[in-house]
Amino acid sequence: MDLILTAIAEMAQPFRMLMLVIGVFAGLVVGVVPGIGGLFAMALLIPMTYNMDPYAAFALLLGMGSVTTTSDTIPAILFGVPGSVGAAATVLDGHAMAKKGEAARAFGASYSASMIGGVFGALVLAAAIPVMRPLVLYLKTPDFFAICAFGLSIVAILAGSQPLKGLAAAMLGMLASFIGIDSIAGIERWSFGQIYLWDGLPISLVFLGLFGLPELASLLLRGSIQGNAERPTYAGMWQGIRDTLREWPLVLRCSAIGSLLGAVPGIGIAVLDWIAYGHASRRPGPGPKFGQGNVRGVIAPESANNAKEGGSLIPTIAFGVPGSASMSILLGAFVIHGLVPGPDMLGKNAALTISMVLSIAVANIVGAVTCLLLTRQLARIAQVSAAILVPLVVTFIVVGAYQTNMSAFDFLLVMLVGAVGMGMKELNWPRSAFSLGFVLGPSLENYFFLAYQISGWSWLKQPLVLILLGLAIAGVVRQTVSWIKARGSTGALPPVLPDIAASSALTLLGLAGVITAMLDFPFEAAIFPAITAGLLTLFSLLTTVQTVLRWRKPVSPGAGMTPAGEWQPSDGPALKGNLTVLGLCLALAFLVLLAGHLAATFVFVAGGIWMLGSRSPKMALAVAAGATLCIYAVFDLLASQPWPAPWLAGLFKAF
Amino acid sequence: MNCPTVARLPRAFLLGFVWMLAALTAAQAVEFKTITIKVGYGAGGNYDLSSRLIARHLGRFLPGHPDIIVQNVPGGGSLKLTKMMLGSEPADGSVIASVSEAMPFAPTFDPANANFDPLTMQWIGALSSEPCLCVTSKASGIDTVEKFLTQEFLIGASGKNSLSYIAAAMVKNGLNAKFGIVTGFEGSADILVASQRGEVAGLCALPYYGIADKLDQFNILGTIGPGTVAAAPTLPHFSDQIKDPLTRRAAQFIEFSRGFYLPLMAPPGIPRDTLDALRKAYVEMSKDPDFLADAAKMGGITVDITPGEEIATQVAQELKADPAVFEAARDLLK
Repeated sequence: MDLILTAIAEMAQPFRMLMLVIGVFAGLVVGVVPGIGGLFAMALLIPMTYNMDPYAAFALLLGMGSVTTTSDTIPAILFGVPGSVGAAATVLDGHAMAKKGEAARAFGASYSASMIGGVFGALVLAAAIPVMRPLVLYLKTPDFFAICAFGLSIVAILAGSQPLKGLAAAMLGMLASFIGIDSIAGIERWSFGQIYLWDGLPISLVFLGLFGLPELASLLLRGSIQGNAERPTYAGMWQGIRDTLREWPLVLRCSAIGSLLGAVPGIGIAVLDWIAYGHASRRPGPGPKFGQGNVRGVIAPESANNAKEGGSLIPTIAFGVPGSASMSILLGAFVIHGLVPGPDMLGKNAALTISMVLSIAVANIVGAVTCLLLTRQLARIAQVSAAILVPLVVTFIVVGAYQTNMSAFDFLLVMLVGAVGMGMKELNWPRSAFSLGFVLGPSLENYFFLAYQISGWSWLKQPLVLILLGLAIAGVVRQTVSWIKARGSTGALPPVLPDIAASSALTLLGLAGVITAMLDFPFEAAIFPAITAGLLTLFSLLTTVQTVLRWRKPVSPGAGMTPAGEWQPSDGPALKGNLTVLGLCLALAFLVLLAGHLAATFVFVAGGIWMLGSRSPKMALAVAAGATLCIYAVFDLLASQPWPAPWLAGLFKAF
Repeated sequence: MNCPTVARLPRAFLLGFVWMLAALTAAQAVEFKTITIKVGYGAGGNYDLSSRLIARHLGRFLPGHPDIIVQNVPGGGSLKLTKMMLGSEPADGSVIASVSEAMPFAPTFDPANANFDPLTMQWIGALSSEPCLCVTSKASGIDTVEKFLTQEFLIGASGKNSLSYIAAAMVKNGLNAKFGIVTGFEGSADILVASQRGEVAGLCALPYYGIADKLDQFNILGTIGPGTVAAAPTLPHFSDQIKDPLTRRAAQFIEFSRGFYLPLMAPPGIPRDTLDALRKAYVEMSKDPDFLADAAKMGGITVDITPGEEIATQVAQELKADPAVFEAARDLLK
């Protein structure tokens, strides 16, 4: 009790509270802008803490780190663009709600769930303080593998109305995650001699392309986010908060998932929000189906991803083992402030540890309340014309993507993944399953090899491994039984010919994956990619056969047959909309390379708004000027990074 | 026409000429604007932290007092950034890099991937030169060098290109030790926890400051790299125990780079005076009390710099070794 009072007294000092609030506001900005991750922001903030005392330093850093997952839902709900990788699951139902005119309700539900989840995570951290060292030592490498395998089994739930496609999409995601230099044998896998690919496909780019770009085509076709739906009301926000309170058992379960899995190294935020989403989707409750605007699909991932911060601090404080990528940066702050993770943090520095708990809890409350206050203004964006929104969102996606490596490959990759995402969206290949495969692939492979090298096959007999693998198998079997029962009642299905083309292409890709893995990689680097590619071939081939059979025996779609689950094809000429979005991305990418990001933003936004149908040149110029200022403030002042010299500058230099 | 005005004209021309000459001379002197330190690893590790530390101080000692910003370019244990520095980064002093000290020897160990001329790397300086350690947990029972070399147990390491694997493989193959090497751990903190869980016995390539606070839980068995550990100068040096002269020389070649830990480099073609200014500033910074006070906060790392000229000379000298040494070194790392 004395320790808690000491920590409260230390944190109550005005400068430390100020640092916490500054951290929270920085975190909210970082979360809302796609492309700047919390990781990057934390690395930028650490040097600013050199001259602070540890309480103020950690208040700033944890304040920032705790709330990026609160505000990253803003672009996810409004535009379907995840502000960070942790908001991808929120896109599915949150954006669907916004399209129906329920943006305010989705915001209310997400912020309140985030706040409760964040405070819950802080409490878990507080409760774990006395037992965190034995807890971390109890879990062994095979247990981590079993946790990842259990996480992957959630794919069965996310697989949607055409399960074979879901399984194939998960395998495609896993296969994509193996690109780059492998961590066991140290050899290049499918990097085609490009050093850009050595570290694999950047996760933030993959998520931006996969979820962000495909939604923009739909937005263009609808004319505004919510189309003709009713005008959003402020009352919707309170309804969202009431939804969260009504679903309190779900909030607590998902917060527990977030905080406990957050403590497991290798299970990042991008994994646990899908696990929470999958967990919630098993009991959809009243209202629309999952993927069609069910509020539980917003509450579940949002409570889990905010609870993670507390959980991932557990191994960091107890052993200096970062529970997440941002914790590895926070570890640097420990070093700079002369703190040694381990028993000291639970002994002589226990007050500081408790102050971290307080910082996380207070940051989550301040962050959520701030966002709630902004809800009315944000919800109005849902009625703004797509002609204005699309160029703006494309700008943030493309410029944000360029931040990743400052390479033209960033543009290429985000557009390529965007095109894949567009195809998946239109043809009912679940992007959620792809995401889960992509984020879990490397951890599964690594933990498997570690477990095998340490104890051969005997680890399969460990009790926790048996329980978790048993649960995973039971979940998959249960889901398979439900698929078999539901045969023939799949509702509407995508057009046959493009579907056959897509599944045939994936079959060939899988086959090429098997052959190249077996021929080019040594055994330890080949086994996981080869099995994954083999399964991709199998599931894609079965999908092809199934679709061909459907083609030969056409079933006329009955009245009232609607797309199921996360499948939400565009209404209208989807191909035209998607090509327009990709064309806009290409044009902006070229402008950025030619004239630099600021001039490019101005020209592109003004030109884009004009081209997409705005009648007021003054308004187009004003929005373009505002966007350029915003890009400058975020990408030059807040996240000061060296931008490559544009081609035009090189040309002038030459003369 | 006013005569005195006419008389003043040649003087005005002269003054103008002198001013132009002075301006031109000033323009030719080295003047830094903004410098980017690119780091070949992700944020949070020693290379990143030391670069951010240097970014905070180096500008004060450079002409023009430039702002210095840090950018992470991870990939292939900094091989990606090394290739970028040697191929595409501007050689005007605006970009410098923090890469692994093992990079100049990467073409020797992995000629297929590291296909560059290491002698073109322009060194600014290196922050530390302490050797690294092999450690085991007390619970493992491996508490002497003899047990370390003769008993069967497991040592943890990161990927096969990592220093933790290279150091362990060098000891294992050079001294015919019986231990196995488990690869795939994220980093040394993970391996230390796995040691405490009893999954592996310990690891190699840990700096002294990484273990100084855990001496009640871990045994330090010996060192890898030139020099001695200031806090434990009597620790045995593994490569000294290798009997075969060629193998011993190969081991010394492998561990040589540890003598210039956390180095900074510039691209080839950087003007001589720009490089000299960077090197001079680096040395001056290393003596600055404010810098040393900040460095002391970095978990006890010992600042013992190696100037850039010295690194260049030593690397060139080392790369003149007999090709048989290179072959033996490659064998040691298999």
